[in-house]
Amino acid sequence: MKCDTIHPLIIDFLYDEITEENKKILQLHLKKCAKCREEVESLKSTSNILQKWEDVEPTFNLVMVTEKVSWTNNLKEQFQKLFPKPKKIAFGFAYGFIGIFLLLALANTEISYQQGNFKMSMGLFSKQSGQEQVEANAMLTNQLVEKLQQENYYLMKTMMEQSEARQQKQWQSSLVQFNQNLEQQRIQDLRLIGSGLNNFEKNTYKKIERIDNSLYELFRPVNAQRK
Amino acid sequence: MTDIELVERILNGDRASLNTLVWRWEKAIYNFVFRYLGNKELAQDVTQKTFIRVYKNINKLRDVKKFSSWIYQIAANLCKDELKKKSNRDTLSIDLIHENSENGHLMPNELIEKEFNQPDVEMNHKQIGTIIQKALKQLPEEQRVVIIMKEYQGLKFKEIAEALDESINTVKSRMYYGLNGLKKIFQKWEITEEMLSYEM
Repeated sequence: MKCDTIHPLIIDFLYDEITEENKKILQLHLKKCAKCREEVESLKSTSNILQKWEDVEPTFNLVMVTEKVSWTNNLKEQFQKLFPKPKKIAFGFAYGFIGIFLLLALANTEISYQQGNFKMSMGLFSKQSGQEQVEANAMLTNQLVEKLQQENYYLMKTMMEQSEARQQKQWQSSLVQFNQNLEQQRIQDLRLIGSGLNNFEKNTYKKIERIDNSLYELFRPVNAQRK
Repeated sequence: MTDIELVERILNGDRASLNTLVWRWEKAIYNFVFRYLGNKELAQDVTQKTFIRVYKNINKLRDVKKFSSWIYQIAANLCKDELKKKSNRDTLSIDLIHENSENGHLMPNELIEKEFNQPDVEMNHKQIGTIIQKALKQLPEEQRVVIIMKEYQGLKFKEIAEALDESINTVKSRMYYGLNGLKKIFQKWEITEEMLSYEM
């Protein structure tokens, strides 16, 4: 056997991946071929040299951070878990919904909500009393409007009257007060004038007295000289 | 729990199992990438990219049993891309490798001077790693990756063939020529198995 065909077997042998059958073939060849024997030894030695390079510890720690699932996606997932065939069911729901909607539309369904009560009425095919009802509705609204207008009018009237009365009262009270104020002012003025006059009188009296005294003092020495 | 069980769990939507898988594989992948590229920072980067790709494409994994070939395939492809990028960036190698025209081998002259011609200096693990790395770098890439996968990752030839999308015979042939290439390089640098055992 040629050495070239033995090479893959040498490799298998070196790494323990050789079959029993091939092992026998290889051993037979090695007995005869010194060159291949030497090659096996040298390659084993090369492999042993390579094994001296040991693994290193990574200097980092990888952590896979998974993206935070948005609540809509979460809901979707939950929904998908609940219903294993989501598409079919969703389409089923959609078709069902559309069907019911169309039926209701055909049946002229009316749903209303008034003062806490739901009302649902159905009239198959178009309604004939529609026009009348519209007229009746118009009348009702007209009446309502009139009533409202009247109420408004009375309300306004009473408000006006009340405000007028209030104003009059205010006028009266302010006039009385004004009068009183005037009177008080007058009395005060008069008092002031009175007290002023009194003072003036007293002062004049004192002056006259002083003059009299001084005149007396003057005349006394004159009389003494005459004597 | 086996890798297969973990992958099955991930496929069933259990995202936490992915972290277990990452913890289990990060050392192996990091060492594989580091030996392939010879740069720690780059290796970290590519390891991270590998796991991101695993996470994104795990649904495409057809045969759960082939997970180990599959993850190495991803890592090897990313390494290839990195080397392509690198060779585009700098046509001149930044390593201290100079072509030796005598025998066609590439020889790290400065490295040999630095690491070997100082008998007093004891060789440590790091230096052995550096030398083997330099030797591996001189092999053609296709042989180098096979040798790393076999020698250090312990993959079967079948798994290597799956990861590289080649036939088993091609893989074995590359292994044979790669090992022979390394044998010649080590002989040239006068590195023997005994010497390394003695030095350690």
